[in-house]
Amino acid sequence: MNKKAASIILMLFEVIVVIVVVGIALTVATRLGKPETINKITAAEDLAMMVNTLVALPGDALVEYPRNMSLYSLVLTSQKVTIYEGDQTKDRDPVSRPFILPQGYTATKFVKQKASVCLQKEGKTIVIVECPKP
Amino acid sequence: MSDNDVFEVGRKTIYWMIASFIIGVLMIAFVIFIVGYQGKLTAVPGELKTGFITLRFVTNPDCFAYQDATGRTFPYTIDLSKFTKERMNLCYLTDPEKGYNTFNFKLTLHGRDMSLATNNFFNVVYYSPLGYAVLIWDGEKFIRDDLLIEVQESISSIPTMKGS
Repeated sequence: MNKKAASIILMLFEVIVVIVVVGIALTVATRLGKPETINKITAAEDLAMMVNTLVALPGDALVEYPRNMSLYSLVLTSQKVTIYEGDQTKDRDPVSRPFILPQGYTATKFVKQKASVCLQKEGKTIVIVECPKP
Repeated sequence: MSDNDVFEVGRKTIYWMIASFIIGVLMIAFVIFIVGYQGKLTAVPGELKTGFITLRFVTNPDCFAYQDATGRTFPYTIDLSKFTKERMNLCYLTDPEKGYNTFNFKLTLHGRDMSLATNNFFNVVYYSPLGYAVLIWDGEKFIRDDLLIEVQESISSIPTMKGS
């Protein structure tokens, strides 16, 4: 192999490495920096705190989450709240936040891409529902 | 290939070995930076979260709040007969094995010198205790007192006792 050929191969290798590195950096940055990811995290934190607040209420209550959640699906269980982007079957990076309920309390139900989302407490049951229209 | 050509290839190989390592480190640092920035944007102060969690201790009759015979709940009034370890476990029970990586609390009735802790509280506290001005129902009368709540945030492992 002559020197010119070796140089060309090495140059091609360097170009490929640069493209791969830049591609990986861009992919990581866009995936982690998406506003939807931030929105999912803040919504999950807010809803977990709302559940804890509802647990503290001695009676029944209905509380609206004051953000448009039409881009997300929300699943509530007795251990955590999970937010998915769009249809929950397609999102590979859902965000969950746990909470601890007193014994005898349950949290359940899910809401799929509704603009207005409410947490409702009835007795010892907390559910996530689409807010009733006024 | 001449000796110069072999030297050139060898030099490039060593260069790319070093460059690959440095690029790998830089990529990891980049990811850590982005994740850290994301964490800063979405951080919620621990004191805020614990404020919501600890409300249940003084307002929920399934925890320690006093409820009279008619079913009316008295918020910020502690029923002394409910202030027990068993009631605490009904009100707030963390995972027995990994519950140390969530919030744990120690409640102290200052005037009575009575304390209760959640099941994974190991006295690793980082900030001042929360305080609630409360009334205590001792079965006969209401008595003014202060409820102090020490907060243990998530810890990475169960602390070991020194000297054991």
